[in-house]
Amino acid sequence: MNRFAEKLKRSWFKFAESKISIVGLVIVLAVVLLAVFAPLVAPYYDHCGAYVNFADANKAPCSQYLLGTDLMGRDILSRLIGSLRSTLLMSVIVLSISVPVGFIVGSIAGYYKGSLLDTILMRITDIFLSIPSLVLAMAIAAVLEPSLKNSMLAITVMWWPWYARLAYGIASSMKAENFIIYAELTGAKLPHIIFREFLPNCISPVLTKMTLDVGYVIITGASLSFAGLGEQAPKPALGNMISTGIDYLPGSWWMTIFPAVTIILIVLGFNLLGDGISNIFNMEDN
Amino acid sequence: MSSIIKSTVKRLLWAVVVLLGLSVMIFSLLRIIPGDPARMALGETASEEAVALYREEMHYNDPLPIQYGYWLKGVLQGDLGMSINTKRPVLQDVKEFLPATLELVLWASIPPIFVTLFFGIAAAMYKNRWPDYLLRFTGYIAIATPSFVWAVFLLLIFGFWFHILPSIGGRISLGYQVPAVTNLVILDAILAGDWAAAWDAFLHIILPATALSIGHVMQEARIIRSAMVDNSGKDYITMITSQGVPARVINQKYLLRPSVISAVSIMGLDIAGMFGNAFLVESIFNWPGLSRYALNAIMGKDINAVCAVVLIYGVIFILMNFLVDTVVLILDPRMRQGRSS
Repeated sequence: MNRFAEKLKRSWFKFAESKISIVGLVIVLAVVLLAVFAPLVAPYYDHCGAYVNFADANKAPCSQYLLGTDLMGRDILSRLIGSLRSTLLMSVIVLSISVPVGFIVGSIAGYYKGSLLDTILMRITDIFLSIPSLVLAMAIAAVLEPSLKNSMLAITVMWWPWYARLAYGIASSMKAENFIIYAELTGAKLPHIIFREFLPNCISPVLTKMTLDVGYVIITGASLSFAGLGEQAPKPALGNMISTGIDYLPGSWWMTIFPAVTIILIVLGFNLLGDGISNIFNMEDN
Repeated sequence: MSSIIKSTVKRLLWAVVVLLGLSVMIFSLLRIIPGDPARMALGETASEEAVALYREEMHYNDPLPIQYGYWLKGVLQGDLGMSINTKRPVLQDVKEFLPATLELVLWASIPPIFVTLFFGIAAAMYKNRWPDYLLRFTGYIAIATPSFVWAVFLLLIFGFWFHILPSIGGRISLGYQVPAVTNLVILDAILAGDWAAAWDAFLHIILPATALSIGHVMQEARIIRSAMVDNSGKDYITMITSQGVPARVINQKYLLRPSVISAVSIMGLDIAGMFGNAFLVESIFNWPGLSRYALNAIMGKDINAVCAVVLIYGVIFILMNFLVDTVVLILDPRMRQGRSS
């Protein structure tokens, strides 16, 4: 326990060495807290649904509605806070499915490097990587009914190959190492080799990539939602709010600018945090 | 030299394999969609006999692998099916809309290369001084901003607030008539000697091209900066410096070239990825390109059109990868000798 505390302290020291990582951590913590306590924090939480109040429609930012209202008279600030849950949920679900799938595919292919199985698995991976990811995600989302769930599915389908490639690189270079050969000699089966030998060695690059990917998943999700393929109205989503607001530029700029700034802030927070976490691992390697 | 040819041929063969795999995937996408494709193509009002005839004609009654064979044969002959939205062959739509997207991506990729190099080199030369900090700070924000958000900001600032650049969108203002030669409007206008039209078209392309490229520029500039800083600490640089080689020669010949290699491979992928981001940027700027066409097709469940666009972008992506690998091979002597791959 003491050793663990010691290690944690050292990691924090490396993380905090770059002050900008702390900024990232603060932003991410704030976003997560806002998302969790959205119903308590949002000034008008009932505006995150099919609420209509035409009397207050299209109001510029004022003391009652800090960030203005949309065409239905709904408070933009409340809707922004209300959209955070689905935004975070999307990256959690996408990564928690695509990372294990990619890792398993990549490490199996890497372990059997040079075999037919390796060729088949990695060529399939290459095919997925051969289309711009947003194009593929949109095509999948187009075939299915537009919804938050299906946009998550579409992003997951295009996300795993990156992890397959990462795990493949590590597994294929490691399979000839002595500790793998000893494990084989003592009768270790494939699951043991993948989860007990490869996995601990993949943790730091995979975690680094994951923290940096959260921002990209959010950007991709927002792009799909902007195209109308994500969360459906009347529920709030960042991309959706921007695409609605665009038609009312430049007059009602608050409908577009605040969701846009929110996306930038969230992604920036996760990217800075990711840089900080990769600093921890990079220095560990050294 | 022969090793270059050998690896090029090998990579070409892989590209063909990947292309075939891509075609299987797109074909599956076409068939996953629920409902009867013959009924969807002919519409609700078509008679049962007509639908049956059409189904026979399009080989929908055959097993899937045979259907795939017919489909692939058609695609290779340029038959991408009919668009449900435009009621025209998809190929005709592609011919009409692809040049606008190509023009946009060209302008979003080639001029920004110089900006990228300038930023990257400036930041490396003034390491840990204000140009470096400025690049780092703006880089963080630029990378965190999706291209459609850039599009919104640029439109609002330059189009609506300052009225410097056109905000209505499109490729060129009404009233200019440019004879179509290459279908790249700016080039066509220059070829026709119509400089006013070329300038007008150029003004139209600035905002969408900037929106598409700005995040990539900052990211690649950061890569070049850190590669140059890393390389400048290496022994070979110390050695040639001690031999009295002038700093300018070192920078250009020995420092820049190895430092751009990693940026080049990312640049190629980024350029191909712009076709994806163009979906949203084109629709914001009313740019009459293939991506906006595809977005409309997605909304209208026009599955033939969607698949055609995915196929075309896939082919472009694969070609781009191939091109990038070749450029890296030329830039990096180590790769030529097969020492690292």
